[in-house]
Amino acid sequence: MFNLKDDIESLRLWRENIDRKSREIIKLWQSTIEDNLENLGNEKFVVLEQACVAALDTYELNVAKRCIQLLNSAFPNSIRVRTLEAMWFEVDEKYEEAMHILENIIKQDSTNSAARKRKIAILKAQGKSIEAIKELTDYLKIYMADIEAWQELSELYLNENEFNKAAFCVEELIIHNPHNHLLHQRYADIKYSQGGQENIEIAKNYYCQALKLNPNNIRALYGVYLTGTHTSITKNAQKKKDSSKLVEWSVKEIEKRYSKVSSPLSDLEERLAALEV
Amino acid sequence: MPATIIHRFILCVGFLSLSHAGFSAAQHRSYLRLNELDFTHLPLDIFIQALISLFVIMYGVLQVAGDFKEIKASAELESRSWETFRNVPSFYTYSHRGKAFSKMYKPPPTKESLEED
Amino acid sequence: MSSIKFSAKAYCKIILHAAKYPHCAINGVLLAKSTSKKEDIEFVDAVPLFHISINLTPMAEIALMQIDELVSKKGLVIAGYYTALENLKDNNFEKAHHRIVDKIAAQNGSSYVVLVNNSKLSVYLDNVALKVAQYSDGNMKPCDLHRVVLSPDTTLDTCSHLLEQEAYEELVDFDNHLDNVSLDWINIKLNEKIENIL
Repeated sequence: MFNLKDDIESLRLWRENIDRKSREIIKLWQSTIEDNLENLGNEKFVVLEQACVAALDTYELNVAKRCIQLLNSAFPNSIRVRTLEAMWFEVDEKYEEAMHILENIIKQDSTNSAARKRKIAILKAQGKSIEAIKELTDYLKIYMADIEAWQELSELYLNENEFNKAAFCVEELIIHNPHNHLLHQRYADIKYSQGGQENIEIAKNYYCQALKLNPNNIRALYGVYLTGTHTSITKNAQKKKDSSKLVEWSVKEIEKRYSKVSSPLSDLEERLAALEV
Repeated sequence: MPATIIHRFILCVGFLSLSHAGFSAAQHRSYLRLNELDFTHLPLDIFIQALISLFVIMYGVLQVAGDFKEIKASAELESRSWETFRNVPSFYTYSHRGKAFSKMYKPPPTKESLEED
Repeated sequence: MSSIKFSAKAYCKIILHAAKYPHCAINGVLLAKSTSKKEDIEFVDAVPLFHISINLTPMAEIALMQIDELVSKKGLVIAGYYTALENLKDNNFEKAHHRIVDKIAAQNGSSYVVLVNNSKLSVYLDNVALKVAQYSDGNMKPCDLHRVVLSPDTTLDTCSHLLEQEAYEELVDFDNHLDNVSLDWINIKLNEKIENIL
């Protein structure tokens, strides 16, 4: 159904939430946006950029080319548009051309961080994770407050199973954003994956903190259950009692969450039975 | 709710009305001074106009400025999930399966597939 | 020659999971009948697990606990692990290892590791886009591709059909379930859809 306003609103929402809904964006582009570019008002160029990235994600090269051409005619010699051009070359694995464009951008404007990040992304795309990690750590020595970069570094370390270093990156993210329950839960996940009595204790504390910040984080609830079960295997009677209480509480909370569901899941009892102590 | 032209118009009207009330009050005081009368209170109509403009401006500003944020710092984040939080646009790579599922993509013949055939 | 069979449900769900999150590494487990012989194996179903940071273990433990409990009552066991790597060019088993594989091998003696062959994926599926290896005692031994059989024969057509219909939007993996507990990773409706198309 043709409804330009709703489509623009969806695009705006996906931009704000950083949703990677590339297929949906291309569908909207093909159905309404492409023919109504002049009616987009202030949002025209942001939408073009968004559509370009989505087209690169779904290998719709014609759409990407059109977007870049329109942006180029509106902003000739813009660094931001040239970064998109570099991404265009990346999609077809023409990494040398892409690197060339990015290096020119950096020569022209040495403070441009976006081009540096794209260079690291190219290393990632080529499968050179170790080099990508090295470049990213060098980047972070200069741009220490770049939260996106810390997050990307933590993901790169996780892919290499370097849990210690990934945990360090998440610690940096927590310092920048101490109210984010997702980060506390992720830190706990990493600590648990590392294993060892001490790490599991730390994981338990961080899962509890994540729950304090957001009681609806199911992963944190399951995490409390898991870590509680592990820490209840101890000779210390008091610790054992505390952990068992924690485990019982977490199982009750999990049952509560599942019972709130409007159409209950099949075999729910069996799923919850798996958790029974 | 995004601000529309009507809200901005209302805001302008509110400001104009408030400045009008201010000028009227100043004029009233100079009139009293000229007639050597004591100033005890503003006329009721100016007072009511000022009060109404205040509320109109408040309404206009609230609409133009955007939605309120929650007081609890963590409340906003409750609705976020890893699904969107893990996306780091500056580092997006495009060398993934999305290519393979596109109708435009023609995979280059790999050494393996040639060996298999 | 002993065969490694994939039912339509198992194969389609693997491919749909890979198609739903083309920019992520994904993983899941494969279910087989507990009475199956050592040499021949038939994977009757697949449970998609994660697409977010698949190397982290706590949620994997929870998933395995719940899946084990559920499927053992239906006479099935977790016999294999499937994964698809993020990069289109990554097609070898080095990066495919996961602690889940060790756990399955510990329970069953050995486990099968299935890797989605990214280079064989396309909009029109004309051959099996999987590579299979057997894991035991810390060694990953790739299996002969000719042993991999899809049963029934119309599985590839069914899968292409599902991709065209964008049925992957309906697929629920464990990550989706953790974000919204009303979503079920057994995928009852999707299973029915696959049966109907066959």
